[in-house]
Amino acid sequence: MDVNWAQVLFNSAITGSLYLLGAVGLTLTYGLSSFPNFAHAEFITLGAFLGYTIGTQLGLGLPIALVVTFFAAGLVGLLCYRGIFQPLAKRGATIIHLMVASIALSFILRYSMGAIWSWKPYYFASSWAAFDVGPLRVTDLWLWLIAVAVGLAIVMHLGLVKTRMGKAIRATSSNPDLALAAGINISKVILVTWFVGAGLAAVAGIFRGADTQVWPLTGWDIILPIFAVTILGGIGNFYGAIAAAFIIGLAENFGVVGLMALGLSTSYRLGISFVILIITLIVKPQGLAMFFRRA
Amino acid sequence: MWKRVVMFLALVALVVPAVACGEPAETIKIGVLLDTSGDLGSMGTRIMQGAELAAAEINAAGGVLGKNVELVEEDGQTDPQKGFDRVKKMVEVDGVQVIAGPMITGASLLAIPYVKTHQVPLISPSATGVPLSSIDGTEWFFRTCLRDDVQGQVLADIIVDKGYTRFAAIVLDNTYGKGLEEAIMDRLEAVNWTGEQVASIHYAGATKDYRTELQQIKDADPDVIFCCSYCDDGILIFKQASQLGLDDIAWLGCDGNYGSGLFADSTSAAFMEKALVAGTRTVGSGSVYDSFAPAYNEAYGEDPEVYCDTMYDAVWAAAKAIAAAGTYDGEAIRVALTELEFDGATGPINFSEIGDRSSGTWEIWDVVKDANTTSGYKDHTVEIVTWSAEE
Repeated sequence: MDVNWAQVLFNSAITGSLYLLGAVGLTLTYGLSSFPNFAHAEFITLGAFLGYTIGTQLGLGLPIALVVTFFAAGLVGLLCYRGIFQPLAKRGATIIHLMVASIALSFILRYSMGAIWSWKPYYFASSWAAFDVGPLRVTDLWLWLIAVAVGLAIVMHLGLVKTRMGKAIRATSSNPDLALAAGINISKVILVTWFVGAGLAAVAGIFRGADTQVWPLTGWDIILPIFAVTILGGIGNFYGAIAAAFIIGLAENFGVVGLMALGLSTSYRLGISFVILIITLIVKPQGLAMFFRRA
Repeated sequence: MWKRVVMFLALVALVVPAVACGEPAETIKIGVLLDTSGDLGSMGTRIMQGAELAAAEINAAGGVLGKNVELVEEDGQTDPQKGFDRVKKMVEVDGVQVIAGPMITGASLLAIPYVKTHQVPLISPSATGVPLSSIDGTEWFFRTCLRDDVQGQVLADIIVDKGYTRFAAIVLDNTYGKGLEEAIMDRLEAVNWTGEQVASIHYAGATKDYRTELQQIKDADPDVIFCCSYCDDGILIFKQASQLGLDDIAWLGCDGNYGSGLFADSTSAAFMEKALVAGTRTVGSGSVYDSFAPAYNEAYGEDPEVYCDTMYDAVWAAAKAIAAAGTYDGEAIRVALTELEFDGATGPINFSEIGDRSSGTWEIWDVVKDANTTSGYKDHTVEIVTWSAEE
């Protein structure tokens, strides 16, 4: 069978872009606050629901939905940190306590969203124009998603390298004690990171929701590959996350082609990122971080 | 003094429920296991109405054994393990002696050996998997729907009639999806079909991103694509197929992706209207159906969809079997079911030795535009095909 490899590559870019938007917040908050926030999945879901409500139910369209949702979900993320994780950490909570608290928060948010919006899936009303570009079949939505992910990568890179806040984030992430001694306001750095991280997760949620469906497990459906990206990229490492997101995107989509060639069910697609995660943890627990400067 | 009051109240609290349990049950319980959430949620919710309508009619006609019928309704969440857990709960906690359900083959596979040891017959409205007729304990499993091998025959005949020669399948990676694909291929082989299968995809409902799978199908250049899905995953497959430009190929559907639930997404609905040439489902017929359909519409404000009629028949079969057995006991109800004969909304019902229907009616459907519905689309009957085991 002839395989349209260009399309498979393009599909990988769509998958990778989604995972990148979802993983940036997780990896940076993991790096700065030193625990994996499982409720990150619910920030994604919240974005999908808010995006659906603003974009489709209120009919304000995708751009407004993206901006409003970014700030609203960012605020929720910030409040979660300020109200739950920061007080716990101050009382000496270890990574296990914080992780379990985040799982609890995840359940509370998930079932609250289920109670508000119901467990019936919703679909964005917009229908996206599909057209051919050479051998590729693309839609407006997929191009938007890739553009936002690329834009994010550029803005984050410039922000981390050029701005005071970016430098502070990098400094805090690489050595919190030294950063504190150098007079950096660590708690402000962490708050900004939680805000931006949750906001970006919500943006990922809008794209996932518009591309598939919106329901209380929208974020949970993709949290496993997002964790795989975080760990493969090296916890707290933004550049590692970019590389890892596209590696996992490629692995999943080429994996589907491989699974079909072998006559296997494509259900194993979900297992591919899991296998990558396990191999990374065994072979190089620090992930791709060694190839990139810390950020 | 207060200690004594508390002790007394505690005693009362202990004794009262015990007394309540000791009294004979005032209703006859029929367990109902449907998937009212998960991928089949919208279908299961409608099927539940078929069960409730039957129970209301049975009670209006005087109930069973002088008592009212009470439905014990449980949600299997379109997950075999969760469905099986609900079966255990109904048997062990509620003490039901007959269950109308499960809705899906996967849950039935788990439940059948269990109900054999606990002696509670199952009457499924929609578990169509062929293996259910041959596994250990199948004598405890009855169904008012028709099996996948029969549906596969009807679908294969459509492929042959329309002259398709390059067949591709994208089916759920479970007993239902793979069983239906196999049944189609078996029938095509049996009638010496000259075409070939060019692609076969077994997908997981949780993936939700089927772009690369669908691209592989497109690259295989089929002239007909069979999709066996449930509702929510079907919407995503049709939507992504539309985006990838697979709408100039003929698509076939089945009972799993029949129904107005599929029109929740406008891209998916438009795709089905354009590309889906035919789907299959069992459909009611006869005089009982002619009174069932208006009664259903009156009660719920919509027409009965797929498996509402088989569910209605399953609850009626349970009630009639309890009445014939003369006692509320699983083994007696099972024996009564094997001897049962009555006219249901899906035609004459008498179960074969393995608990299957010996005849039934198929509808071949497609999707048409209809400005009077909220989605703008509706299912439409193309042809009615009758089937009986004697053929």
